[in-house]
Amino acid sequence: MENKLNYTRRNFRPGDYTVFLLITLVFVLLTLTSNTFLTYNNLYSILYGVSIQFFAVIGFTLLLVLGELDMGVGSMYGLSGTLVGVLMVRGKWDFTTAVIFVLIVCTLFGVGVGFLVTKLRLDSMMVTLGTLSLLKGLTAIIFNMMPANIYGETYRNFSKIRIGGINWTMLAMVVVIIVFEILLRKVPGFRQIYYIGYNKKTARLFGMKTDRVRILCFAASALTAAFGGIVATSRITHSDILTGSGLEFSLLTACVVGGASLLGGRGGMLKSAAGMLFIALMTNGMAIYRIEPNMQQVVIGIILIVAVFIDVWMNRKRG
Amino acid sequence: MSEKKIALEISHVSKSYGAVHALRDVSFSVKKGEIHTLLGENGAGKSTLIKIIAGEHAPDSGDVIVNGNKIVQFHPEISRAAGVSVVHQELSIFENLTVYENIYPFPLDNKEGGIVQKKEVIKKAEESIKRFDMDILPTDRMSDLRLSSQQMVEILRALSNNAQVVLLDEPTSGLNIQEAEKLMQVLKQLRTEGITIIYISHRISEIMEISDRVTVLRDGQFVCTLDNDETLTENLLISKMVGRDFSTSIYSKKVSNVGNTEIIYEVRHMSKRNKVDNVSFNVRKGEILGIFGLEGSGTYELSRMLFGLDTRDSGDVLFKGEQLKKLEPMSLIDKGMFYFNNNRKDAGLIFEMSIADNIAAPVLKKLTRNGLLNNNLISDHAKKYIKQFSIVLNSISDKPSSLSGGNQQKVLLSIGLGTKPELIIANEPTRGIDVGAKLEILNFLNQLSEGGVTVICFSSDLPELITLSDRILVMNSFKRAGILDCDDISEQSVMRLAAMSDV
Repeated sequence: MENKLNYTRRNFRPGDYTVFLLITLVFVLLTLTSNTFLTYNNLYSILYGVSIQFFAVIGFTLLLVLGELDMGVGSMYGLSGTLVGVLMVRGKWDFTTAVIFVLIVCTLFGVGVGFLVTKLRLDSMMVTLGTLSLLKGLTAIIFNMMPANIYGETYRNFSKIRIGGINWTMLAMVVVIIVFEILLRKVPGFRQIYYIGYNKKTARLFGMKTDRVRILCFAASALTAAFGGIVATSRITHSDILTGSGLEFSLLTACVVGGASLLGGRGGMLKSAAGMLFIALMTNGMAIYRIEPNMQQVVIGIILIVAVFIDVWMNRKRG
Repeated sequence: MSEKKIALEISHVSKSYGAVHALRDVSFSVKKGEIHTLLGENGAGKSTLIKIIAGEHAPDSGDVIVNGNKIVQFHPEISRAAGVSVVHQELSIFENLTVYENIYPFPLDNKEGGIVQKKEVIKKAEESIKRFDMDILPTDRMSDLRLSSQQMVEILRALSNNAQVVLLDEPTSGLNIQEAEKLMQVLKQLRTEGITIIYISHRISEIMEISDRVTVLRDGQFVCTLDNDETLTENLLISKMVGRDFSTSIYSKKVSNVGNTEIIYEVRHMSKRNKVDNVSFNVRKGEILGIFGLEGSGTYELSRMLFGLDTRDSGDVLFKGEQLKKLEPMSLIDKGMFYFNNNRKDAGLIFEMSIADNIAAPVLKKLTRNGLLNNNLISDHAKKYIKQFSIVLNSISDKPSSLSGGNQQKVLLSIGLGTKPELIIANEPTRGIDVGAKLEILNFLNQLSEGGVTVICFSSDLPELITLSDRILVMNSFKRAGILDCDDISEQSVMRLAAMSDV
């Protein structure tokens, strides 16, 4: 009896680690069937791509654990890079000031969304579908104000900084994953995100500031999306109206494949990163097999539906 | 009267929900064309009975016989076809539709292949509105109507299907006196038209005015059916409702021994529109104050306001002599208060997380080393309470759903006690658990109070409150009807304050 009372790690759920199995499966499959897949350059570029989009999934994951959605994440990703560009090109701001300013503005925007969701009790999916369109429109307006050319050197080089021979974004991804895995498991302030995600009303009875935490996470989502967008724009060296377009869906797919639930309470930073890696491997594999981009989109859609189906099915089993 | 035919017969009906016997071998009959009231405390089984008659739930055993026909299959559609209609306590109306669409939500039988004949329906609706002298139009939008008119429309809908038996579950709870009076007129008119009415209400004066007969239920059992003649008095009804024999009961009347300790908690003029009206009280350290009220009296709302779960319009709260500026769970927990919710499923336990995680929830910060949560501390913390409450479980990493209701309730207590509260607000602490676990929990609350913890217990279970409380505050129609000292507490005295109209 005494033995049984020991606190073991959180209950193992079969769905929790499916994503790692899927990654292994796709990896092995592509390695065996293609000779261009398992090359340093190919794997590097997959990871580099993931590491940039990964910024945007940080806040997105926190929100998903809370049981909230930020569908505006892709539009924010698109806006921030262009905004930094216009401040530098038209306003003659220097890069650092522009980045800090844009990050502050975007974070405040996230706080605003958080207020709408918590204080006015609006549904987060509906509100952020609104911001998706709103921010996308803003980006297009700003985009049209600018001459179409590539950005200055400081901006372009931002994403290309290397530490020890690899791009800093990849190192940042590893650090962020480790830090957040510790924060979410071990630090009370972050741990409560799971409690709130599972049951807001109960968490409130337990003295957790559910509204404040939710507002902060909306702010975090806007901040990390904006930061990712700046890096992405730096990588392609100019603004593109399509940057971040549809990103919200691929992030959602990645998180749900990674074991997050739309009902909240589940998911984590490593799992979200793994989900993104899985999607990236799939996309890479389809490119290798010359499956046309439109068809790729069909496949991603199917993955999302299957992942959501499994999530709902697991929850139903849970009762 | 006695030659009248039987419209509805309930024969040996029993129904359990888990360990709780909602109805036990209940039998009585309702005559055709009478107004028959069902009376009983909260949890006496009235609502369960209504649901069975309406075909929403099936009884575990026993029969329901409508107009001589035994109901074999319990389904709302079948009960409706047998001539039974229900008006539930919570209105079920289509706010965005018109009055006539609400009266006739089901397609009328016609020869045009099921196409609703709008003109015809409006005409029929107009007729039924006229029948009761109402000042609304069939084409009025529901959301524009007053609550009383909305309710009348729902009654008209219940009648629209040629219902012979109409069940009304607390139809007057949301109405003012004039509106309730109007409703009484309507019910009397229906009676003269030969329609049988089964009526549930807590307002005893109303029951005395309108009923032909009254059936009293208590703890899921049939007590008696009384004729409404000269011998029926409000006091008689109350004594039938309560009337438990405490000498043979598992419960025993509390003997208060709280001394002249300091007043630790004081509530002044707590008000919220249409919920709570100017309620004040105070509690001494180590005292157990029971708060009792029938459904809709405002006790539930008061309990939530005290813990800052709902806002208040006005009122002050003093805790340990200090006026609390902000009623908000986190700061109240920090100050030494804890709230036990009445519905674990809704809020109270997190069923997806382990028992240890649940017990640790409000004190996460204390279970850290160097700022990081420590599994050993979490596990020790949980084990301490599992031992104290002798919670039966396999592993503390199991989820609460693997436990029985009583053990779940003990986990709930563990969560709260982990915060070392000085004042506990318990809302229905023993709802839905079996008698053994119930007594255990009452015992724990008693022990806590002996150890100096103050308890405010909201409960609709009167015997439980009498066993537990040093004093009982009774609410009636959102107001404080009175506070009874221990010596004055009896089922009768409490129920009189809770149910009588002239207090």
